[in-house]
Amino acid sequence: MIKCFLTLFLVSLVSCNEFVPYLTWTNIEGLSCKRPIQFHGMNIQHITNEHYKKCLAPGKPNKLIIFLADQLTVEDFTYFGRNEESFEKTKNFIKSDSSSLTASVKPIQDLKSIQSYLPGADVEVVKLKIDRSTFDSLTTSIQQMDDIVWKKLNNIGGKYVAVLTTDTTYSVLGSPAERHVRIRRQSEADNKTSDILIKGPCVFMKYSAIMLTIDVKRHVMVPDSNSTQVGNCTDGNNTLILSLKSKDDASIKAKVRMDFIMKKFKTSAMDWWFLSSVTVDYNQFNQKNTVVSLKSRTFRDIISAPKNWSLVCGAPPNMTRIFAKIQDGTNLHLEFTGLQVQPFGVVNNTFGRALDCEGWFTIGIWTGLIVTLLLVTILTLGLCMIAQITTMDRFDDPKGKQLSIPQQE
Amino acid sequence: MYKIIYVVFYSIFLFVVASLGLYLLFTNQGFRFDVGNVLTNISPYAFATTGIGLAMAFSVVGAAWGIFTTGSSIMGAGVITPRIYSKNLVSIIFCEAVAIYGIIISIVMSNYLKYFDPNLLSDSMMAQNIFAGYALFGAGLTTGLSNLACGICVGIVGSGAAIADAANPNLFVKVLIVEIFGSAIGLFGLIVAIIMSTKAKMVVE
Repeated sequence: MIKCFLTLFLVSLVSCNEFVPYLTWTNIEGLSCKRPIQFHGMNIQHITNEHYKKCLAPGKPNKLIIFLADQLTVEDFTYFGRNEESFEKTKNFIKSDSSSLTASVKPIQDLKSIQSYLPGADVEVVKLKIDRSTFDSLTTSIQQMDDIVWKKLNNIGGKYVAVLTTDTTYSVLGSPAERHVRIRRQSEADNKTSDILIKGPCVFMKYSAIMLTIDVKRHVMVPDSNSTQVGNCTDGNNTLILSLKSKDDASIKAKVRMDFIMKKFKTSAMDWWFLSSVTVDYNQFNQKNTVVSLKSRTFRDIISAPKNWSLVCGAPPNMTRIFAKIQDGTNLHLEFTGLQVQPFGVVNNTFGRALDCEGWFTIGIWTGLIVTLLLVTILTLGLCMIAQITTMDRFDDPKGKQLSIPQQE
Repeated sequence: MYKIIYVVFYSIFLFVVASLGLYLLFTNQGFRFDVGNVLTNISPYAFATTGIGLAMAFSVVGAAWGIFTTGSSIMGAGVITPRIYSKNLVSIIFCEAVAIYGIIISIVMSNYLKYFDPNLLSDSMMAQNIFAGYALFGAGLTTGLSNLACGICVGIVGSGAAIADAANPNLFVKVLIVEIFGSAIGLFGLIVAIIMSTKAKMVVE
C-alpha cells in the first residue's frame, strides 16, 4: 500500500501535468484476471476498458459507488494523511482486495460514463467534503471521510465496485509544484513556535528564547512585563530594558539592560553598531537584588553589525552566551536563541539586511587551515628534499684505479 | 603530465578566490574580508603550541641535516683512514647540541602553557594571555629557524673537516674553529628565545 502511495507521490513530483488520484476496489471474489497495470497519467478509458469491462464486468457487480472527495490530491495521501489512522479503513479495503487499483489519472469529465462499462450496476455518487482551513481540520476531515467510506461499504449487500476520486479540475487544484509550496508553507507554519518580537521605537529585537544561568541552574525566562527603551533614536546611544521572569519559578525575576552604541570605526571607514554593555539585575528566592555587569569582551565584537544592517544569530550558544562572574564565585550567563536585533536605522518596521554572527568559516576553521597549510608545506619540502638525495659521484672514475679496501680485523 | 594537473588546480583555486572576492565587492559586503579579525581572534593556544612545536621540529631538522651531511663524509673518509672516526665525532656532537637546544627551549616553553577559560577573564588578563601566545610563538620560531641554519652549517663544515682530517691530521683543529663559530649562532637563537619566553605569563583568573 505504501508502495502505491509512494509511487503516486514520486510521479506527482516528477510530472508537470495535472493528474488526480483514482482508487478503485471491489468485493467480488474469485476473479480470474490478473492484477491490473497501474501507471502514472492513465486515461480513465484505460481503466474502464481494460479493468472494468474485461475483468470486473464478468463478475456482475450490483452496485457502483463513486466517492467524490473535495479537491483530492496525491498530497492528501502522502502528506496530510501520513498518519497511520488516517486512511486505515480504505487501506484495509485495498489491501484485502485482489484487484484494487491506485492510479493517477487525468481529471474525469463525466463520471457516469464509467457506468457503461459495468452494465447492470446501480450507480451511487457520494460527495465527501474536506475542510482544508487548518491542518487539524484537514486531518479530521480525512478521518471522517474514511469512516464514511467504511460505513457505506459495510452496509451494502452484494457485490460492488467502489471508486474514490475527485471531480475537481486542475485549475482549482494547481500544479504539483504549487501544491508542494503550499504544503511546505503550511508545515512550516505548523511547526513554528512563537518568537518574541520587540518592535520598540528604536531597538527592534526578536528572539525565540532567553536563558539565564545562575551558577549551575539554567532558567528559561519569559517576559514579565513589556520591555522599555531609553534613548533618542538618532544620537547613537540606544538602550533596551527587558523585564523577565523564570518560566518555571515565578519568584526569579531579572531585568536585563542592553546598551547599544553606534560609532564610526577608522579601520573599516564605516559606521558600526555594537552592544556595549549588558547589566542584569536579578533576584532569586525573594532575596536582595543583585546587579551584575556582564563581561563586554564576550559580546562586543559578536553582537555587532554595520549601520542599517541587523544581526542574526541562530543557534551557536557560544556566540550568544554573554558571561559574567560575580565576586563570590557565582557564574552568570545570559543566552539568546534565535536572535535577530537591529538597534539603529530600522526602516518600515522590518529588519534590515541581516549579518550572520557565525560567518562562512569560524575562527577555529581558519586556525586549523593555517596550521595545516604550514605543516603540509613543511612536509612537502621535506619529502622533495629526501627525494633528491643521491650518492656522491664526484670521485667516480670508471677508468681509474679501483678502490682497495684494506682488510683490517 | 604533472604540469597540467598543477595548472588545473591552480586555476580552479584562482577562480574560486577571485569569484569570492568579486562577490563580496559587488554585494557591498567588503567588510567581510577581514584579515585582522582572523588574526586577532586566533586563540593564543594555537600560536603558543605552534611555536613550541616548530621549535622542536626545526631544531631536529637542522640537527638531522647536519648529522647526515657530516656522518656520510666521516663514513666515507673513514673507510680509507679509520683513525679519523674518534676525533670527528666532535662534529656530530656539535650537530646534536642543536637538537638539545631545541628540546630545552620546548620544555621550558611548555611549562608556561596554562589552561584558561576566556569567559572568566577580564580584558587586561586576556591581553596578557594573548601576549603570552605571541611570545611563545616568536620564541619557538626564533630558536627553530636559527637551529635549522646552525645545524646545516655545522654539518657541511664538519663534513669538510672530516675529509681534511683524513688528508692531513694537522688541519682538524683549524677547521674546528670554523665549526665553533657555526655552533655559536644556534646558541644566539636559544638565548633570545629564553628571554622572550620568560616574559610569557598566562593568567588563569
